[in-house]
Amino acid sequence: MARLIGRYLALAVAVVLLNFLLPRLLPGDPLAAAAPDGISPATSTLTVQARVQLRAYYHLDQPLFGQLLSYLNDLAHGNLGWSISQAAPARDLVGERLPWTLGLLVTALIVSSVAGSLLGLLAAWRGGQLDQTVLTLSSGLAAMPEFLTAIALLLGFAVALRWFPLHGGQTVFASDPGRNPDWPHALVDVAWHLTLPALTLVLATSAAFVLVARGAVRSVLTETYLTTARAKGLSETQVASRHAAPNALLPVMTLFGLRLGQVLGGAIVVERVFAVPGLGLLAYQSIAARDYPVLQAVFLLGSLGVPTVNFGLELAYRRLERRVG
Amino acid sequence: MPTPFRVSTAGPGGPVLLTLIYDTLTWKDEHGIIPWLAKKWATSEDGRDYTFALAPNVRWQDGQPLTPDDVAFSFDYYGRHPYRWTDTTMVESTTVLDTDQIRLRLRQPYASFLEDVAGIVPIVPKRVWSNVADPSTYGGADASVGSGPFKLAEYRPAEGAYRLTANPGYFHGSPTTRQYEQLNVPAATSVQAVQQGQLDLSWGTDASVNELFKGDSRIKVLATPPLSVVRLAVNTKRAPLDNKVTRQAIMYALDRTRLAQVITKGLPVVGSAGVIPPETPWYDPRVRSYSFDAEKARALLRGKQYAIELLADPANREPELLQPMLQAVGITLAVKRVDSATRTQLLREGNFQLGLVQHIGIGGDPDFLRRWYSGTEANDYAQGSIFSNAQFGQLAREQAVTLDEAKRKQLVYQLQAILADELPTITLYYRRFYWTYDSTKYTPMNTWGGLIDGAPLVQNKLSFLRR
Amino acid sequence: MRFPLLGAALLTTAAILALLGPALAPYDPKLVTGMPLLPPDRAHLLGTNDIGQDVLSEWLWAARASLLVAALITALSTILSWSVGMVAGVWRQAEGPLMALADLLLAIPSLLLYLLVVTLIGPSQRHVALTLGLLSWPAFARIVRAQVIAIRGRTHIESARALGATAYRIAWVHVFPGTVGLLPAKIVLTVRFAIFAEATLAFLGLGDPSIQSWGAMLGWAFAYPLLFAGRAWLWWALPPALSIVLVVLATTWLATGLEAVAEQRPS
Repeated sequence: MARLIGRYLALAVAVVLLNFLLPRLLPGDPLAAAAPDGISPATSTLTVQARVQLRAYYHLDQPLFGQLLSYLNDLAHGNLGWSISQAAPARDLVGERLPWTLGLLVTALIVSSVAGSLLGLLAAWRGGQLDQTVLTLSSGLAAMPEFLTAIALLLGFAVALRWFPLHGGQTVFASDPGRNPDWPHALVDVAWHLTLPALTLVLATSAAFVLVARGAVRSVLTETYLTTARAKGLSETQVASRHAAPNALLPVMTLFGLRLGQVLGGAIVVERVFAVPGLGLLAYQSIAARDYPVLQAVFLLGSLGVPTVNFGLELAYRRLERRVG
Repeated sequence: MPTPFRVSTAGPGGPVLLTLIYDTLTWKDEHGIIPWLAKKWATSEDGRDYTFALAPNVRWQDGQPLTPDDVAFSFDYYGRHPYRWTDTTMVESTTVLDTDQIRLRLRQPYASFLEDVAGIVPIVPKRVWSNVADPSTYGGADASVGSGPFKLAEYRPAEGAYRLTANPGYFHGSPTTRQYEQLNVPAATSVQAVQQGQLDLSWGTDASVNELFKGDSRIKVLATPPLSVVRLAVNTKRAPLDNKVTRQAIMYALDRTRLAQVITKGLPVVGSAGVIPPETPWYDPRVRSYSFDAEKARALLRGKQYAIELLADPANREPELLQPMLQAVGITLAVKRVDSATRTQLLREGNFQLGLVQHIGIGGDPDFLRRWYSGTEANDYAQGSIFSNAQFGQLAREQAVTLDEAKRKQLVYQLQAILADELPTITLYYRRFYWTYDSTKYTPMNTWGGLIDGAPLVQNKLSFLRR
Repeated sequence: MRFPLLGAALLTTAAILALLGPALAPYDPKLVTGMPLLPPDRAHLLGTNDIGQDVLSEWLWAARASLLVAALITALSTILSWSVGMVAGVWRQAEGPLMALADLLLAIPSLLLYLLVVTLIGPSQRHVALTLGLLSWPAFARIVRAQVIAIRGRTHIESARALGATAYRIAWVHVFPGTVGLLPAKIVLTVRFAIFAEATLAFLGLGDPSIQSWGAMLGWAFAYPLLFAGRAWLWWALPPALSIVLVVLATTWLATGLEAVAEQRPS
């Protein structure tokens, strides 16, 4: 147990150090970045005095070790630094974006894992035509890169059919006199905006669950205990749900855990295409702007997500093992 | 947060918001500089003193009157906390003369003071900022109190979205627009968003929108003057570009008309060798033009072959068109794609030969030429074009202090002539901004010399007021 | 049963195109040969793109670029992860540090890591292939290691060790063949990962802009703000999109076929 904790602690420390170093190894000065369209006041008239002031404020004129000490000190106080390009605390920026990414990805993950696993289960159990169809559909979907699915949905449902909005996570300001800004309507509004992004993610990730569940069930199809169960008089459904399905549980949960840990890595493609204000988009913008504090914050969050979930999973497995064994 | 000290540097939104929430001493309409917070002004003989008489009945958005103390305080404060868009260090002192008069004394005369400083620097309330030691972190409730036609109602940092509401007590009358929202929208669907009524105004640089909405009674397109420049920054310290003849050869070798046509899909505006674009007040129409002539280019190069490296953004299309044009005269162009932050740094370090840059800020007062080529002003794109020319430097310094407009114009024409001959930068073409808008909701306008420091932005606050 | 053959046929066609494509191209794809955004006609069978280059020629050259990158990444990733997995499984001392490194790499969001690296070293095609190949080994390495450990415990290995066989011999003769069965799945997944990653990066504007791959074609197309305002997307964006999908499908079908064949053979 102690070894387990020790290993994950060492991993966390490595992650923290790596996250500090990596952004700083990039060429490019945060105070000089321009917007890609060339419209950035920073490039047209940022005066020398202003630059010097900003540089001092963000510790950029300290040697690397000094910056590290400041970073660690800030981290201990929960201070993730000040965003250079957006003039706001990095913690606030990350905090604002986190719910969007979490909400979108966790929802999509739950839907795709449940729907995908059930479909895979059914396909393996019934076999035959259904199996073939499910397999074909899954491979077809798995063959489409996420950004293509996203663009296709955007084109079809938002541009052509106009059923869904063109961009954003919500109607940003409840400006229309007719629109009611209370929370049920706000929830519906968010759901309406996130339908296409979530659908993209579901389509992109269900195939894995279908295949995993199907594989797990197929591997026990010929097991003798199933024949015994049938001989005892259990219905097909009962046999399936009580004896075959649980086999799929472990691999599906492993996959689910793996994907859950990756959630904080952000759905950068979907967020860009649909302009959902999440962490992936924030990371992308911060790299272009060499926004060190924000980059560090996003990296930290994303990198600690996987070990945290894995740690939790390993604890859960051990508890399960102890109970079973 | 749209305060003069915290506004986001990403995109054009920031400066536009500042002009709607705050006011400046002078302003610009379609034809020139007009009085604004200052109803009239007088300049001293030596050009160092500006005495402004303030307009009556100007109030801050919280109801308090705007006084000369606020103006004096603003300039003093910017002296200690520099304003990002404009240098104000030439202001030596401020003196409040009366209940409505203020004198600003400059260290030396500055010809573009009225347009570039008095017309850009936002006046901030003294009673809010005098207690703030660090304006770049101040986010109090009164941080965005200005005197302008719009008040900040809501700011969503995650989406980078702002909502402004009209200030009914505005001294130029209540705005005709009740609410102004600024949103961050993907370029790929911004035109459709206007078509579907989700947006009222969006911009792009592709002229095809004109075709798209030809004959449309509701959606219209306003083209700005060609105030966005696409040019090659040249490192004049590295061979073979240290030789002016090579630079001129490149100018002749490039069919810049075709380049502009293909990329903007509209009528081309060829780059002027003197940098200042046509359709602006300081442009010299007789500046030397380099018409496309591959023969001449080859003759100038005397049959020598060269290899030159070009730094470009990943999104630029121009390099693919430049390569064959230069190959035809014996120059092999190696294109190195780097993101804009890296490119800016390489330019600043002088670690490049040619750099493809595109930006705005060239349509207004021509003093930017001095800052680019002979000052310490941190214009990164220009600093890459290292250019030490004694005559240029002297003329540049002279025009900065020449208040007589006719004389100054001659000096600026001479500057353009030197640039056109020496070519420290190779101007490829200019772009117009095409603003797609819902004409039933709003009518945008073009500003003389571009909004703020020469930007092709159309949301001049005058377009929101009754005129 | 038909699908694997279809997959093989498609992949062979793709390989032929990759090799011969540039010779078949009617124009030099870098040259501007027509007005921008022309619809398909006799001079340009797939029309022109936003600056007037021939889309068909671009597509043919892109086939070579995309497939080459995918092959490189797959080769690099497979060899690397296989070796690491084997070493980690057979040599106890190496297992700890190797798996710790794998954990670290798995923890960091890969796209973010790639963004950082590419901004550091520049987005050339070599760097793309190298980075993606080097970033994708941890997951499969762990699977190989698990398999190796399982095989290690089998009795014939114990006997071999008892008889004095060296670790190297054990690995090569006994363990190695046992892991070959994992390969088809790995290759398919990596080809898919490689093509997707390259296309996604190009789409995000982070790939190598001087190499025209299918992903790059899509990247340019989607960067053009008025792509969907007209019909240009039909001849400019659709062909590279369909090609990507078909290649991945073909690989999947082929791998399913290979797996079925392997299952039927006695172990």
